Amino acid sequence: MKEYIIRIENVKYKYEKEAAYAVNGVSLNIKKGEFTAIIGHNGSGKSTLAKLINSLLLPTEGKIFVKDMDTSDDSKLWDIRQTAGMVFQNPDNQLVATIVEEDIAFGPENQGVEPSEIRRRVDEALKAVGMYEYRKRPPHLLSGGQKQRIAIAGVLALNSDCIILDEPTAMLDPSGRKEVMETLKKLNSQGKTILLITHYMDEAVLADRVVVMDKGSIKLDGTPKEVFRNIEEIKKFGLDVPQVTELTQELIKEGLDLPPDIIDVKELVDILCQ
Amino acid sequence: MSITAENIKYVYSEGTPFRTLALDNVNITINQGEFVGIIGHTGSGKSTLIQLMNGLELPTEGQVKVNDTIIGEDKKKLKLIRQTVGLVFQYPEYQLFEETVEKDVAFGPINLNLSQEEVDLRVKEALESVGFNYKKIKDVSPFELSGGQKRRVAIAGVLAMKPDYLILDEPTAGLDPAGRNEIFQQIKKLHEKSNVTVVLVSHSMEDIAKLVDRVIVLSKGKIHMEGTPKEIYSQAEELEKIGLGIPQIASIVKELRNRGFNIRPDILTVEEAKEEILKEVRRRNV
Repeated sequence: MKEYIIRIENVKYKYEKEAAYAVNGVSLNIKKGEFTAIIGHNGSGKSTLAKLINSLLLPTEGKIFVKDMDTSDDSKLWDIRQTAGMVFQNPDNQLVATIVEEDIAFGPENQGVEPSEIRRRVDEALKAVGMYEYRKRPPHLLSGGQKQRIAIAGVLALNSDCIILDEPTAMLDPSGRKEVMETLKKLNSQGKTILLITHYMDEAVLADRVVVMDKGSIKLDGTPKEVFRNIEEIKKFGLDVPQVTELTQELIKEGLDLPPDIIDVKELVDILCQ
Repeated sequence: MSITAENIKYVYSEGTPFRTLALDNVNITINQGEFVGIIGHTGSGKSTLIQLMNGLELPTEGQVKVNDTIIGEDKKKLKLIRQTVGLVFQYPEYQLFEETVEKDVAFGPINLNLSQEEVDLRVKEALESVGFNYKKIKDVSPFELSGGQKRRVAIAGVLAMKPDYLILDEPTAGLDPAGRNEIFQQIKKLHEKSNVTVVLVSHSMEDIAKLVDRVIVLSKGKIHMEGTPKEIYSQAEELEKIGLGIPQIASIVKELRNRGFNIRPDILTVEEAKEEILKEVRRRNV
């Protein structure tokens, strides 16, 4: 079981006042070092699933293990949250300090990390998100996108093995998004497990694996190529496919001989120019 | 009838080490009936600019005029200006507070001291113009709605003030693709049906390309470019230099042209791209 950092075993979750299950029988194993994107329309259960992994919610049925620790085991709560650090959509709700670098230091300080090590982690985390030059600024004077990068740096400074991000780029501009995605790719290549919840299909394309959720359960699970070729199905779930995939399939309908699973601009251009 | 900003400068945190020049010598005109998109990297001054347009902030230098009224000259006119220029903030659903959708949308008009009939009429119209069935939605709690629906209720709240100008700051941030389409279709319809002027701030180049007549590009507090979507998005390098991008379709077209494909450079939709590529492929195979 060691190769799986997260094991989700037939989990159901129902919010107290609601009739339907927000998560309805999900089983999912995440390998150590894997980059997984979870997509699904608003209310499909993605965020609930993330909160269950992080032990912010406990399953109504089923079990979740983070590094073999049961998320319903109270004594493991802090180890679980340190192992799987979470970044939420709205950074205003997660920034706590009056100066950027103090905000990043907040987590490691609470773990009792040595001051010199905290300094190192804070600097490294800020550089990783491209916000080092803002380290002395008050977070409330930063733009939405900049704040979000600070929130990501805060999790990086905890040295979590796994980073769970719930729509971290919803408020960022294209270069901000690119920077965050490049940061995530870099962290992933250094061994971090990444679980990215996103509404941007061009981000999901960059993951190793894409999981599609609808009405609390997993509908599709595979590589981006395997998943996005199912245009009709994806649209039925209130989602979209990259424009390049849509264009490719439109061209196929018109009789061009192209592979149906193109998800990358260069790929299509190369084939058309052969 | 227009909103004009003349030689606008906006400085925040003046007199502190964090002094920032958010807007620097900005001149723009938004004409009645237009659908204008504003794009720019985070911190480029977009949000500051739209707050100046309805008097939430006053410029450090220069002046903003709404239909010939200079904002800030007469404090008593601010209320009227905010009614004329409706601003929908980011994540507007956080501003919903009433027990029912109807009460929430009625809040603004009631504060205008309108008659009950006029309030009712406006609430009905506003909810219908964002695509709701009035009878079905009016008694629902706003908190039971989906993300996209909550946004539409919040937009209806602003529309019920009957603004001449509707400014939307990232109205689809955090919504799924279906929710994004739902919001944009309603805004597009609204613009086509009524003569409301729409100013849309967005990070989604695809959406801006699809919707607006004119794009204003901000960078570091200045206007960097201005033009139709086709004019703007054919300048990929320039946009990338200032932290923006082009729609994926436009980059496919650009790459194909670089590799000798004889297709038009100003393509912004999948449909257009398909037609042009087919023409070229067939030409080559003849």
